[in-house]
Amino acid sequence: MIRPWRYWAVESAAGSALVAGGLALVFLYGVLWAGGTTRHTVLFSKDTIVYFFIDVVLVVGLQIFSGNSGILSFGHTAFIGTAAYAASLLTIDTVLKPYVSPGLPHYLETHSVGLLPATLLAVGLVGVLALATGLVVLRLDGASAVIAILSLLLIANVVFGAWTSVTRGAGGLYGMPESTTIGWAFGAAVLAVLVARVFKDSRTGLQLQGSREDAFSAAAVGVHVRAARLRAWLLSAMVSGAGGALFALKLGAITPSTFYLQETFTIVVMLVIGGMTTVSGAVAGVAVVTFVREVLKPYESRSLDLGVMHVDRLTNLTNLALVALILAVLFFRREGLVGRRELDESLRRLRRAPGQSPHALSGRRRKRAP
Amino acid sequence: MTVIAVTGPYLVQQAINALSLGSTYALLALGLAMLFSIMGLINFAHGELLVIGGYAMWALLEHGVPWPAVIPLTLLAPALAAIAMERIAFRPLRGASLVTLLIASFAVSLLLQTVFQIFAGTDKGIELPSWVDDVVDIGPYTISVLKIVMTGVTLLTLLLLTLFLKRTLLGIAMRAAAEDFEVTRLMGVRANAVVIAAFFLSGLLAGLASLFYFTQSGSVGPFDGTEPVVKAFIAVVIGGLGSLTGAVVGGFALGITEVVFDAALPAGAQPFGTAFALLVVIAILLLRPQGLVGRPVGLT
Repeated sequence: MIRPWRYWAVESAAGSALVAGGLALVFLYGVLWAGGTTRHTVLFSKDTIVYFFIDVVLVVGLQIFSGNSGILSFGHTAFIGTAAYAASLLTIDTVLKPYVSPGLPHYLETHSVGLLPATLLAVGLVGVLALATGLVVLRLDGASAVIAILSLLLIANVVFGAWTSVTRGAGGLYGMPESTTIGWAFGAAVLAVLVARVFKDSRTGLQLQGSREDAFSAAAVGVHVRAARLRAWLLSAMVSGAGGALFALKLGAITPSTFYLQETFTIVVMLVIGGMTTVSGAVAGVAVVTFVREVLKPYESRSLDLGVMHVDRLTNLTNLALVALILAVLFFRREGLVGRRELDESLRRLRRAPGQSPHALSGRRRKRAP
Repeated sequence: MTVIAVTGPYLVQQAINALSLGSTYALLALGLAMLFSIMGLINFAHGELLVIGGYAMWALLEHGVPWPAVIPLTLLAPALAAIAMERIAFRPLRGASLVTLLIASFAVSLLLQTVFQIFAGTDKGIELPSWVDDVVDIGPYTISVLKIVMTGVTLLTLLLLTLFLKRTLLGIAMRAAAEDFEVTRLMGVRANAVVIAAFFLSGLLAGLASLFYFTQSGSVGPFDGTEPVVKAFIAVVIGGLGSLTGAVVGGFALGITEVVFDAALPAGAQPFGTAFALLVVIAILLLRPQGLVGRPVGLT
């Protein structure tokens, strides 16, 4: 059962084929059916599918750090927002730019780029910020880390709102070309899934998962916990940043409140419902939440008569459903719908001959331990 | 701010501002720290307790209830809500991990916000008595009466709370539970009694904070709880997680930092005040990861 360690990347990539295949089916649906306006009834519009893929990138991005390290980050929305603002400022038409963002440096004001360079530059910027913030906040542990990371979101929100000469403050940016096509979104989602899975099965990923289960024991066997966390933080922020850039270039207009607690909650719910320890879980969570959201959307504008009082609009009915869903998951299935094993791992387990201990570590994993 | 402004009266004025702002943070932070030290819960929904206090105040005043009755009821409403919250959302999760409890409280917070949004809709104005705007002249200083009352009441509350925690059986049990819940239970203390008492007190403190907060803001809306509670979290962390004294120290430290930045920043940088204050907070944590009062724990 001992295999050369260098094949882990190939194996992990192959392992995520199942999830990627699922995404490909959604992509086909989006291209073939949802796109056709002549179809009589379409459950999901093409836009919904694009947002689904973008959400996959965002949630998988968060999974890379939170799923492996066990530290839930409420700060990733800061990276998503930063990348969104950066990508927007890079793509807004140069004719419009002086009006939207008069405070930009001259060079930026007179030049604009397309989706791919804008996304890559935004991801680079997020990488730099993630390194700077990670070096500071990851010195903390447990609840202090959670709150310090949350304060990054607050700082970002203040900057988005207050830096009016560049971000237009609460009014937000507009005029970005809506250039995130279903193809780009799908490609990014698959890439994110691959990156997350390969990272998860990498040396650093395994070390980090060890530290998630017991940080002291991991440190005792020679894991440099803080360094592992920093690497995951960096990668995770950059994947989230890519999602943020695509998100802005799909929306076409953004405000500071686009990237605050509501968005944070939605992403966290998606991650937790599916199960934060696996990449398959992250994707499954996005699928479930997207489905629930789409089904409930028509009811949000309805009114409700409770006898004692009358409610005009069921604003945010989706939120209520999400809360119910997440509490149900926390009460009855704390590891999320998918659980602690990737879908392909569970599948392999099912096919294995009966009698073999379900708790034994696979040879693959044992070999890879440092 | 010009140089002329930095004179005696101005300084005293700002000091009172810092103390009254710090009081609100300290009260909220204390409630949060209490729950955290006893059951490891970072309670996001604490902000919604504040808002429940605000809505209670609004509803009672709308129905013409006189102020002497409004005050105790505003204190009681969040306290009862806190107990209900514990029973419904947190008891099934007792002993769960930090992350699980955190997500649950985040969900409860969002649930309440949505409920407020559906049933209360837009911001409700709170009719304030005229004495809220009163000022008093002490020598050369003109000081808002409300802010003096706020600071005074907070200090009195802290004194009473200290007496409760040090002198009563339940208080001692709560402090013991904060040290080691399991051993405390082995000593014959009922877990539910301690947890319910902690939620009740934390709700009561939130009620007091909402009296202060909403008499200053003058209106209450579904999302008003978020900002103060996040500030209170930060106060708890600056002070040192798990330490009640730390929460109070952190609350006042944050209040002072914010007021100093508000006063010292040039007009162009004013909107960034909170961001600067948070950067200072992170710098404090860099130097003292265990907080101002806390003991060093943890791995990294």
